[in-house]
Amino acid sequence: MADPRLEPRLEQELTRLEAAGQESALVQVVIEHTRPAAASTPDKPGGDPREQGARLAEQSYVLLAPIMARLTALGAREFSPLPLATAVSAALTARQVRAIAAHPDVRLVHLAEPEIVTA
Amino acid sequence: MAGEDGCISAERTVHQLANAVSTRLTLPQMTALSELDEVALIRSDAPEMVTCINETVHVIEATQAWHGLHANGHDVRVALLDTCADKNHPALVGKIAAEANTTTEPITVVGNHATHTAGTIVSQDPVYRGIAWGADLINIKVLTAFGFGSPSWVIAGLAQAVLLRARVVSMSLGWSEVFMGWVCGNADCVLCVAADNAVRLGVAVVVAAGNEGTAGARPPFAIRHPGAARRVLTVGATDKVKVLAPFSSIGPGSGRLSPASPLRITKPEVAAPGVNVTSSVLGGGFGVMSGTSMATPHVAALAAILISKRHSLRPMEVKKLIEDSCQPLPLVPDDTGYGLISVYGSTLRVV
Repeated sequence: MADPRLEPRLEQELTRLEAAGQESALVQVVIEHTRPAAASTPDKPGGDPREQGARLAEQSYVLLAPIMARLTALGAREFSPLPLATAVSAALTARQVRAIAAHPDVRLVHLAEPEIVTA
Repeated sequence: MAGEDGCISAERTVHQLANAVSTRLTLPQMTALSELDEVALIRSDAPEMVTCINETVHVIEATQAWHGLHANGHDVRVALLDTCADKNHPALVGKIAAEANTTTEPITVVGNHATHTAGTIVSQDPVYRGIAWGADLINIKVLTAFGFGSPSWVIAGLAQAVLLRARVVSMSLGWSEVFMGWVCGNADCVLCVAADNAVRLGVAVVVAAGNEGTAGARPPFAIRHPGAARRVLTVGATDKVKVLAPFSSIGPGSGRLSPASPLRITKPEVAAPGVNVTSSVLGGGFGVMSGTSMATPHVAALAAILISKRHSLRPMEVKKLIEDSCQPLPLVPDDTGYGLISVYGSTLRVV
């Protein structure tokens, strides 16, 4: 049964890699947090956006810490936080993707391989 | 140049400046002519609808704002998240205030798509003049030159726009649920969260609706992400006679009106010219492109103009001003939202 925390096209890609025995192949993903942080000063003009952004980043890092720790424990080497979205960008093996998707703070894992997105 | 023997039509015009001839030919005549050493290329000269920027400025009533209200986006920073505009294009020289790169491709690899959208905002060319020609551009490369992008590159680019103190972001890109498999249940995916947070941090974010319109089939939720985000201004495309482009994605967006509501938020909010738009292209010249990508920078430029006229405007106030002063179109809201933007109408409300 498909994991609802994996984007369907990511699930397809993992299944393909597993069927091909490509256990060490890395897939680029973005990991969504269940409760993303919202900037604390809505729509305020004139203030220093970098200061407001730094506060948002602090909140995001706290929320993302358990996910980042889990990625480290899973042996992931390439991952970095995206504080504006309370998300993590990572290059993971299929096994690592399935493991991180089971973390209670993860809502969804997106496939994030580059594709044509111009409109 | 043949003639007396009747080989070539008598209907011909010599263009001395271009060292060329225009005429009407049959296929055999064309084939015979193409074999001449003097003929480098035979192009189609059939009339087609071409919307130059200097035409689109009339469609969205920008010239009235330029001349009547002295509105040109002066001193406002617009971040263009795209394939990286060519800063050496004659129409863009001196207009790029800062640059950043969140892709794996060097920033020196510039893209046609970004060069075109940049020109629509800030081109200095006297004919193909940008809508907000007084604004400054922040050139943020979030896509490869050929338009490939990862969501993490775009989110990092939005963060760069905030850090570099942009007041407006223009994004002619997005991920579609229906056609690309992106998943977003309630305008709350990573792309939508990032875009809404950028708005909360003081940046007016303008995003393309997408090109998934199917001329009547009306697939639901064809609005791309982050265009589906609640706080961004999402842009559909019309042609120069104010008719919805068949490719323009229609709404509603994925966001629900309330957590339990079956109703979805109206998207796109506005429309702008996006069919056969002429703007700057790689190589230093000008070329025609179509898409909601081309409509989006028109709206981003309008946002810059409004902020230049009143620096204290909040992003959501900019959004509402633009929506409330649209030229109405005879379509349902999920096609073109409030209607076609009016630069003059919006600017009049802040001066």
